[in-house]
Amino acid sequence: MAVDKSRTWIQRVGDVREINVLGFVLVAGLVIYALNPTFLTLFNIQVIMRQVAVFGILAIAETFIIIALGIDLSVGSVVAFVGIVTALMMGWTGNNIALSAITVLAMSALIGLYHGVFVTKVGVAPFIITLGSLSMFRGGAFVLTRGYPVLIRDESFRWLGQGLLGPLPVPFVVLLVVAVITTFILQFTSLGRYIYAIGGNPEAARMSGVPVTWVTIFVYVQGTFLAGVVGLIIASRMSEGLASVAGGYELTAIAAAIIGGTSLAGGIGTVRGTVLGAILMAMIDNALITLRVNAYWYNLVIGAVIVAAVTIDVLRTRDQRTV
Amino acid sequence: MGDNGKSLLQKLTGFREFMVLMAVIVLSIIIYAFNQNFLTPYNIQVIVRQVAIFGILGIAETAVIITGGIDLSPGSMLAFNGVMVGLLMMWGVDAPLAIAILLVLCIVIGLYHGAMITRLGLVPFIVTLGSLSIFRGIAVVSTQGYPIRIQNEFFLWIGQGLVLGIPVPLFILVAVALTMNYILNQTPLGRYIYAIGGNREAARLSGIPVRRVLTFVYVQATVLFGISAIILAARLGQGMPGVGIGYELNAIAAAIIGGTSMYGGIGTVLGTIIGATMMALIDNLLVLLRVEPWWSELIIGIVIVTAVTVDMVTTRKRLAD
Repeated sequence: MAVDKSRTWIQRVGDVREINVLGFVLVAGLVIYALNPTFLTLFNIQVIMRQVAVFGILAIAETFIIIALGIDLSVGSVVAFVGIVTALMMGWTGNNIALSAITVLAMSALIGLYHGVFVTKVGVAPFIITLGSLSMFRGGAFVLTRGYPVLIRDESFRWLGQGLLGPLPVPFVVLLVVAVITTFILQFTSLGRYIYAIGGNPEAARMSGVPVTWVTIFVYVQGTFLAGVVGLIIASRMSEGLASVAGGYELTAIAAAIIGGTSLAGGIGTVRGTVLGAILMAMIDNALITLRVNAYWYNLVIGAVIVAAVTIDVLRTRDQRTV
Repeated sequence: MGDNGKSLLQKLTGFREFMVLMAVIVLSIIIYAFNQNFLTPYNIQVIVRQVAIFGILGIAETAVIITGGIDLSPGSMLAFNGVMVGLLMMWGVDAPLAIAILLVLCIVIGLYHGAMITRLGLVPFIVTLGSLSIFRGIAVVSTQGYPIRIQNEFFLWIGQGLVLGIPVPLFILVAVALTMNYILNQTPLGRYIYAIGGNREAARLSGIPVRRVLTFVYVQATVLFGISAIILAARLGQGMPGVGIGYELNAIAAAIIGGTSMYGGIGTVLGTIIGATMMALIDNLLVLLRVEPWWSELIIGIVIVTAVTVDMVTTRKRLAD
């Protein structure tokens, strides 16, 4: 097998990990299918794809941030907050989708900018600043709505969350687009190299002239920006803004990234692997429903799957890892 | 080390915990101005019990974070432990024995965390995230969602009792705080913990038994979670599978506000307790002001960010001198 010499050793390690996850996904898929054939009906696959899209986009956002030695705990809360602002804006602008979407995405980017600035200029730990946002935006979402949904009365807006492009749900197509763009950035641009460099060794990166501050700010901006995209998707899917959506999604997104090979130690991770991790998480989520598992078992199963997937991955790559 | 021309104020704010303590005192005065009920014995007891629970959780996290790790399981362990001890007593096991069994169970779980982290090399975030789900799941499955009534007098006294007018949980908190403080400051084990947090490789190369120390840190964490769970279950009179959701973030926030650094190597028990007190005070303030519940998340978030920012800015000034 020819080795692509333009790929760094970091990327080759990432490759190995993806085979593990892919294997896990396929095996899990087969087992679930054996237990209940409706798992693989077109309808159910589309349901899974919608969930993969949500988890996947958030997980890709986290991947960028984690590779650069950061973390973002706020994405779930931002998703909910964005959904509500979207619904409110639709109401205020007479259902002007373009204006609402642009405003909301700009707002998301600004939140990311706030994170980035506090991490780089003020020096607050990413865990804390995004933890603060997790509370602020979730709380803010409830304060704005008192828990009640804000309805979106526009038929055409539904297309984003509920529509289909051929056999593929629109959110899944959005995920594919995001995945392609982010893979391109990570593998083929200097920005991508800088992100890996910062994660590998921040001091060395700084001394080799990497604009650490700007790159760090960028990863946080893209993080909440993508959370904003997901917020739009979910608001569209539900045709309403609801303060309680996406609870805990930040942890699922981070887990998906880590299962896919992103390392919390920084410098390692791929979009491919992350998407596979998201597929696994969405599949398990769906399987629990399809297999009519008693709702009380959800937490237990998801936790066990996360630990098992990562353990298997670690055991298999033990000899090959140099980290 | 010369004076460097520092003003008196700068010298005072060099004591990190002092800053947060000042904030707590100011906050208390503000709360009292808003609502005289703040200083009634009943309300103070409420605050004290709250501080005990979050303080013990925070102290547990402090040691873990000092080593550069993290434990996301406290919230779920509160539920799991509460349910387990409730079940044990329901099956007729006497309270002291039930507590002992529970603590042994906590040690085993802590050993599991330690083994996964030190032997398999899994990151603490993932291992404890898994536990967050797994143990919440076990708690829910074993009770089918129903709380377990606890009627044992001795057990309830732990959470609800008073000794000389002081709530029992406060004594437990003090005991835990003194013990952990002693370990961290007066024993080689404590020095190893700080050393690992400062530079793990250097620590390993200097002969520190990193694996054993890390395992200890995660074991002490789960044991302290167990103690906190006992206090909570005793206070509620129930083992509830639904408690503690989100508490891990509060525990970590208490530690961070109190000066523990996410980057490792820095943190104190006293700071964490002050941090936990501040969070309990804010919670209490919102209740006394009859603020609607959803405001508390928003305000807690703002407080966390403000506290840490102020701390960072003042730390920078100190380091620059």
